[in-house]
Amino acid sequence: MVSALKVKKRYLHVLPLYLALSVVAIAFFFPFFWMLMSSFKSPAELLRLPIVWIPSHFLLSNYPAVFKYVPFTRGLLNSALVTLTSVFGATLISSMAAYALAKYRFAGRGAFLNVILISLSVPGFVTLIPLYDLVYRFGWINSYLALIIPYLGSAYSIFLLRQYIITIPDSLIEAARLDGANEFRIFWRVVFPLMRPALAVVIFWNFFNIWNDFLWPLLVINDPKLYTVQLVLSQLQGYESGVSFVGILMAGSFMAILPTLTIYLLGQSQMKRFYNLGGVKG
Amino acid sequence: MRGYPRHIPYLFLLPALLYFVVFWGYPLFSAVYLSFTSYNFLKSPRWVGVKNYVALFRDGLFYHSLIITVEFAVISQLITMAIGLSLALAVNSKLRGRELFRVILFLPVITSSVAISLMWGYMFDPIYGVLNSVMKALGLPPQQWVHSPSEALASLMIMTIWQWAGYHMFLFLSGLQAIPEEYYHAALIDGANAFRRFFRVTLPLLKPTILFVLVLATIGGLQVFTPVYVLTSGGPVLSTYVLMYYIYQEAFHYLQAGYADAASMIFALIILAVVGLELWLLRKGGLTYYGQRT
Repeated sequence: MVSALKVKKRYLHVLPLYLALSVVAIAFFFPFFWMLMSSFKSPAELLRLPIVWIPSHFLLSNYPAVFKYVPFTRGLLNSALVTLTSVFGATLISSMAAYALAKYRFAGRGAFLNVILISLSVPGFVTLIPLYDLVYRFGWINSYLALIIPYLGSAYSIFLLRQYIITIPDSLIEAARLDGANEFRIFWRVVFPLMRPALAVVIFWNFFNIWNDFLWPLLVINDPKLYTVQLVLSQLQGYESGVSFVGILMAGSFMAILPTLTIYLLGQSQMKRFYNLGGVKG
Repeated sequence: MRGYPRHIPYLFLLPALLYFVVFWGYPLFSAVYLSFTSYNFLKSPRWVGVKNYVALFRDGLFYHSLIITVEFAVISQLITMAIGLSLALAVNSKLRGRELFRVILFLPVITSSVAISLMWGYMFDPIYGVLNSVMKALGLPPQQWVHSPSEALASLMIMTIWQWAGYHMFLFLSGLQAIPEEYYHAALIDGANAFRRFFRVTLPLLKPTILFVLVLATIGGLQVFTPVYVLTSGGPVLSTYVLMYYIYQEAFHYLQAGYADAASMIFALIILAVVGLELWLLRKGGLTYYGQRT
């Protein structure tokens, strides 16, 4: 009896918090809901007042229309190529560097670690103009190289992976060494698999950043054939500014965010595992 | 314990080293050099001494950009941090359904700024936009949002706060979870109420996280570009002509690369000063390098 009362009291206590959080969650989710709903509206419904919350019938034609105005397929493929290649490269390069910095003692190690830490705190715009200049002089403007190579180094990835590799016991590495495995085999067969939770976070983070990047592609690409999906989306916006065009614009936006959205939702279990592991150690 | 050839670590490090020398170290020095030159990417840079800097100090648009950028960053990031911290405190308890809440709040963080700007641009529409419908339903006067010189910057702030609150919540949450439960037990036994527990236990122990988020937010907020490019093109009447947009225009539209580079040097020094000030202000209270816990 007493405990039942206690339970009830606890729930009453939590109820306002739940209500407040629900309101916040709805407010935060609303723009996405609104984008999706608007992508199914006809120009007439977009221009109707009072506002149409949910379209009377879900018009699908906005989606194919996107492809008529801009080379959207091309944009998606370019983004996919650029993102996958640079995420793969950045992950490999970062994990190798992170391993060296975490598990070897060598001259220059401290200096390189300092470079990583400093570059973490130097805002990206500082090197933007000279980096553009460099890429321009390499003759990479309007090429995939300009969209891939500059993404290959990631101080954040190296730092995060290094912090994680430090926690892998040295005894595992030494045991493999005694068994006669060479250093690259040790990295690939022993360390790399154990890094998986941290790798997942690095891969996700780089994927989101590179897929979503706008400024860099804007600078180095002006050939529509090489447009990334973000540039294509911005190009679509330039077509027409009226509200009647919003249906098509929202359809394009939704398709452009679908890849990151899918990966984010599918990756939840991986992300959670990382936090759990982090929590146990911390 | 060494049982490997001496050159092995350098082989592992080589690709990253190459990258940082060519694509980070060189541009960093080049950035300083170019700021003392007249350069348009096409002809080789011509040394002009401090001429760019002198000209910048007389450039009214540069001052204007500087002021509204700082205004944008300070206001939007402080609000984002406050919201992020409140949300983190709210979901730090063992609530049912908090996973769903976290997933939803983090969604804008992984979404492209172009798409976000487009969807908010539609919501900001003075006639057909959903925001004014909501204002009307609440009995509030309709606004011009990004279409008015006096409201455009604030509108972009609202959008940015929405975009980054989830990220700040996430960072604060990992800071909160690093605080040992025992401290709270001890405070409870001593009879501290929730208010006191927050100010005497949570806040002091959260200082390193707050510092980290503050630095991150300062650097991020000052660099706003995409929403301005997509939604307002710096307008109306230059009211959203933020510094990154200024640098972009000077360098890539007017091809004044040396001049724009000098602007970014001044901007970098300002960020350095602001971050330094933040570090100095928050120095007392067990400052540790935050990255340890990620």
